[in-house]
Amino acid sequence: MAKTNNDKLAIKEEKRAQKQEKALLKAENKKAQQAEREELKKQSQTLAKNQKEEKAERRQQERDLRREKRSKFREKRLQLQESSLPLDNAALIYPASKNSEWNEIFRISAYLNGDVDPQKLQSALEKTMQRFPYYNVALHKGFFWYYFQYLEQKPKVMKEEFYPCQPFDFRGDKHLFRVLYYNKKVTCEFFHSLCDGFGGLNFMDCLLINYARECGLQVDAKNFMINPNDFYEQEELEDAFNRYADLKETNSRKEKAAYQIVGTPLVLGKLIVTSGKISVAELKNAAKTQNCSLNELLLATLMYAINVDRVEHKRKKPVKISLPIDCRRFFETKTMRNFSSYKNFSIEKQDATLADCIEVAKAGMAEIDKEYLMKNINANVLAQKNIFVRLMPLYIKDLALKYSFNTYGERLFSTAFSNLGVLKVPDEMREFVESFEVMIGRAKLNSLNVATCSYNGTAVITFTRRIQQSNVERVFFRTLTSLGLSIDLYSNV
Amino acid sequence: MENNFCDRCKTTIDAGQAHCPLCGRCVNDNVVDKHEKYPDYKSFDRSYFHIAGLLMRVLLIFASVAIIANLILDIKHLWCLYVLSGAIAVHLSVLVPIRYKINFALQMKFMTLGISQLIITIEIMTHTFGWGVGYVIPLMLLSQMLICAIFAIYKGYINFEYIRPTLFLLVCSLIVFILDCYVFDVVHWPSVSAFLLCLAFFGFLLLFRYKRTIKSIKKYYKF
Repeated sequence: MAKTNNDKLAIKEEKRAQKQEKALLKAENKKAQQAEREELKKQSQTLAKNQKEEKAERRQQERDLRREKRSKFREKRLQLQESSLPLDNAALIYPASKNSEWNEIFRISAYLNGDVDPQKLQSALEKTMQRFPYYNVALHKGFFWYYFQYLEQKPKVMKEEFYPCQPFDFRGDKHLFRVLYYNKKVTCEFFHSLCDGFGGLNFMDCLLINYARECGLQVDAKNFMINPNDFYEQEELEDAFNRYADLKETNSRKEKAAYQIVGTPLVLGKLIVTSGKISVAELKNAAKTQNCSLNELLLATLMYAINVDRVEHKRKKPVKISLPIDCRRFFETKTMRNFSSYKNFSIEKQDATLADCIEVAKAGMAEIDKEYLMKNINANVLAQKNIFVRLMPLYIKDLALKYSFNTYGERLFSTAFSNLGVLKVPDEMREFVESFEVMIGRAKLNSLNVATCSYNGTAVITFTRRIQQSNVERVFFRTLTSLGLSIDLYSNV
Repeated sequence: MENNFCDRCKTTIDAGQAHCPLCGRCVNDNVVDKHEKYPDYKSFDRSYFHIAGLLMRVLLIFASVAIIANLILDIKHLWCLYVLSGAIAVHLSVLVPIRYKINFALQMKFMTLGISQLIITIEIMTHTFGWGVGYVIPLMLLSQMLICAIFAIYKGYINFEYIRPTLFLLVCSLIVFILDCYVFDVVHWPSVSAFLLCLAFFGFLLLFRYKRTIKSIKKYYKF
């Protein structure tokens, strides 16, 4: 019995011992689990902390970047506010030659797929001005030169009510461009001192992108030639003429005076616009059959039409057409101000045919190269850098510039033919913008001006005239139709 | 609306237009010209044109009231003539050029007439006839001829509208010169120099731009 009692006790003790061991193990496990949990908690807390810190760092970096950008923008704006902008080389002639009834203006219009909302256009314009603060300027007179002064007030959109390209009023602080709207049309009119066609087109594109965004269209302009969200670069303000002029060889300005298209002048301020829409593919085919380029064909047809008018009026002076050339094609620059030169094409033959005119156009086009433009640029920059010219007070300089404009300006050509080339908008906006139209305003001496551009496979050729007779347009468009082209016409007559 | 077609020019014309912009031919009888792409233009009348018109009327009323008042109150002292000639001078030299947007060349003509009649009236009314015709008017003619010549030469003979004031100033200076010679028996230097300058400039135009001068004289005076 004792054995059994002892055995029982031993068994009980063993069981106790086992229980204790189990309890110990459990306690150890619990401790280990707790420790693990604590470690995990600690790790997760540290991770969360790290993540929070990283996030905070990122946010801080972003804020810093924004602050930097803002401060840069403010600095640049302050620079603009404080310092006046000097006019570029090509812009100098326009303020001197202007008067209250005439100044050099060009106009870019876009026809949209719906009626324009003026309020949305206004907010789009305000956003566009942040991208182009250097266009928010007025023309001022200094003692030696004209200069641009930064303006505080923002430009306002206006409804189109008067004839196109009405002269700007320079009295007081007024903008040198205007944004107009009429039905489906958005129009920008620029005083030529402010910018050339390239700058104007970029401004128009930016305005249209902002307007499309205001209308609820999602436009990604990152890969487009101009992004309205970017800040402007200092290079956009540069006078590229001064940058590239090597001041060595120059082109002579002495030329024979050209034939001026004869006609009954219209009342001051009135301007007749005639536009023709032609398919670019058809034009290219016609140019191929004539063995020339599209630009040469249009130039030659215009030359031919003016020559017909000259023969009708029995005049002897040669027909000359001035072709503006964008110098950015040859000299790399981001400038949004004037950087264009010109080439005059002349024909003296009384009985010249279209083929003769094409030959003249081809020969002239072949002459346009970097050297030719450099000589033109040199001539302009040398005149500006002349010490006597620089020291001359503006009142005398104005007289000299006016004289040179009258002698070497419009007197030397019958008309100007400006081709702005192919216009583009971001892919999302192709349906939003139906067509573009470019025109040159009333000339001081010339009776007629021609401008063209193409968009979505359609070229629009726009004639602006300040005389009643439409002889030149008639011959021009009839010549093109005789080549098998179909033309859609519209006018403000 | 469908687009129209001009058979002469072989071009398609915008649906809103009744006439071909090139040859003027009517392409659709049922359409009245309505441009969707261009607005119906407002006239170019500006606010100051209306103000000038209003001032002209006010001057006219003021002068007529002055005459009536003068006639009723005191007929011996014709002070209304001062008012009248002053009003005419302001009207001709300031308001007419603004109201009718007259160019600078024609403005000189009106200014000469306006100021001359004022000076002559003052001379007659103050019994001091001589100083105006002898000095002031010829000096005015002289200065205007100088301005006219500078403008004509500066514009590079492009604008032959200056032929009219040149001829007008020549005739005026001739009248003043004759008045000087035969009425006062004394030749004042301003009248001689004004006449000679006008003559010289006209001769200069005839000498170097004979054809265009004669052509513009024929055109303006419809010979």
